[in-house]
Amino acid sequence: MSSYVWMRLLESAPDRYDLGIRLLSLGRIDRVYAQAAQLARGPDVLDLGCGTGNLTSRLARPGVRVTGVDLSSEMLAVARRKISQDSGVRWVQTSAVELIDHFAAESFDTIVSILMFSELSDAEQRLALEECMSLLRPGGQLIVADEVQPSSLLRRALHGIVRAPLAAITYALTQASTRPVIDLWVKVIKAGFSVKLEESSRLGDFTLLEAGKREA
Amino acid sequence: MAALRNAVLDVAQILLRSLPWPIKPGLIAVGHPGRDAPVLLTCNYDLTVRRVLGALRGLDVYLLVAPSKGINVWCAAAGGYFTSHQVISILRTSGIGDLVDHRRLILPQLSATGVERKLLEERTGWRAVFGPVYAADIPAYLANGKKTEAMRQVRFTLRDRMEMAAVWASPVSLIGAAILAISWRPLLLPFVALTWMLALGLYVFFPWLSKEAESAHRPAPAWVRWMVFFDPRVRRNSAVWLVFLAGMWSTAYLVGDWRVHSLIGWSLASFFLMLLISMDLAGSTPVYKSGLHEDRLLHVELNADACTGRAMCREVCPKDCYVVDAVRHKAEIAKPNACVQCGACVVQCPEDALAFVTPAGERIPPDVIRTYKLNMLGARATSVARD
Repeated sequence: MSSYVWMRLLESAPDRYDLGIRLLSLGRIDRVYAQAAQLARGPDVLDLGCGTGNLTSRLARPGVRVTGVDLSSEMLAVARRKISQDSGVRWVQTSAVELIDHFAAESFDTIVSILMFSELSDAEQRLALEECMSLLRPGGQLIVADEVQPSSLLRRALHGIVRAPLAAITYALTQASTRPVIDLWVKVIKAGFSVKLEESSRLGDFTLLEAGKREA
Repeated sequence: MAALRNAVLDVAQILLRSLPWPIKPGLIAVGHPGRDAPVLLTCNYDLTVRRVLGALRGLDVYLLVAPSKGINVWCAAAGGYFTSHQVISILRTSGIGDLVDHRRLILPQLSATGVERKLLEERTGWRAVFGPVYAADIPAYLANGKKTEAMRQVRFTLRDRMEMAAVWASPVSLIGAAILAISWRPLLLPFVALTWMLALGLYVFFPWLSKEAESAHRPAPAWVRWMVFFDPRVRRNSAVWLVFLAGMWSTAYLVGDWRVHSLIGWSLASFFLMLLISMDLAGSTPVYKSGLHEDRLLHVELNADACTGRAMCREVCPKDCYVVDAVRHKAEIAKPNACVQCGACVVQCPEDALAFVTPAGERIPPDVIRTYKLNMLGARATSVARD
């Protein structure tokens, strides 16, 4: 799933983001959204890094109160246009390390975050996970799907070869690149979660992780 | 060894000045900072961090390096990559709160167009002040405890202009050279030399050339908006291209080379040179307004009734546009023509007394400007205003 580096290109143009990311991931991103939406349990769900609201719209089912958080006002503007007001989705513009300023402790049953952690620095990833921990109710769950650094040396080399040209072109066009998350599940466990499900791509460069917060 | 590394990085980063160069965000202890040591903050563009560290030599301070995607302070702040969020992030992840007893944070003045001081203070309990524009002024600023008028202003020195020349010359010479390497190799070196001479020449003489650019503020034809790089109003472009075409024909005549690919090579190469000199050079500098896009030339409007003379506008204006009457407690835009629309004053005004107004007369309120980072020539400036 090296094509995720192309996200950068799209992020500079939120309006084209949806079509672009679907094409670049060859439709796979839709499956990730669908799987994450299926795993999510209500009634209170937080979509952390909601972007243009692709996952948010899937999460917004009857009886589920969804909150979409994103740092980019422009992305949120697109999401707002796309998802009707009747869906009851609450939109909040903030960063992943300022969640505790906006939400009370233990106010969510599920936090989903797709392709967001790779935007953060190492220290920010750890802090964001801590904040997720405090925001979740006992028994609540965290679902993270992101580009990760493969664990085995061979796979990492293979991944590097596949990714380098894409990253180079994207960098030339948009002057930015993603940083695959390093040791995602180690960080998740260190934040106090227990990992329930981990699904990786064949190359080991994309992971979907479901982690739980212990019952009180 | 460290000096060599710095020199190599300097050259590489100046050549690639238009591209970001991120380093790991974090906390750097300069010298032996104690619990009262000043806390300064900058962005995570490597060239900036190294220059700031150079200026801080001999001081005992903490330097926070905030995650701005590897983009320099002013560009990142104007583009929405260096905002209160990035400052809050580094305050929380660096653990600086445990290392000092005070809560006073010194931000670079040019971050004022992106970092909302009020929001930052409410959220973190830190008191933020805007320090000098240039890192070189930090030691004097710390010693005197206040900013002089000169420390607030952006300059465009010969050295800055040479760097700007490299910003344009290096990609143009690279692309042109790649084309010529295939089509007409003997012209490769002359082309590269010409590119650099042109770029350096234009920028060295910029203060004189720009007088022409400033007087050329006539409305542009509609199609110009689709051709961002070209400015047909500056007539010297066509003159220079004619010189190139004449050069091409005379060279072909002299060496007796009328092969099609040579002519194509030269035409393409001269096209890139044209591109270089027809760039919106004035708009790419920190001190002049764009010569293009009259439709996006916003101006700042002051609501004198709301103003209480707290002088944040004067504090953050890099062009010294404001005067504040200390008796009447009112600010005044004394030099509206000097404004480069960075929006710092609008973002920081504690009374929301300032706003942008579009050429069509629409008022863009400060909250919209803060949310969407509307400033300078961002495409957002027009699209969001229309929404």
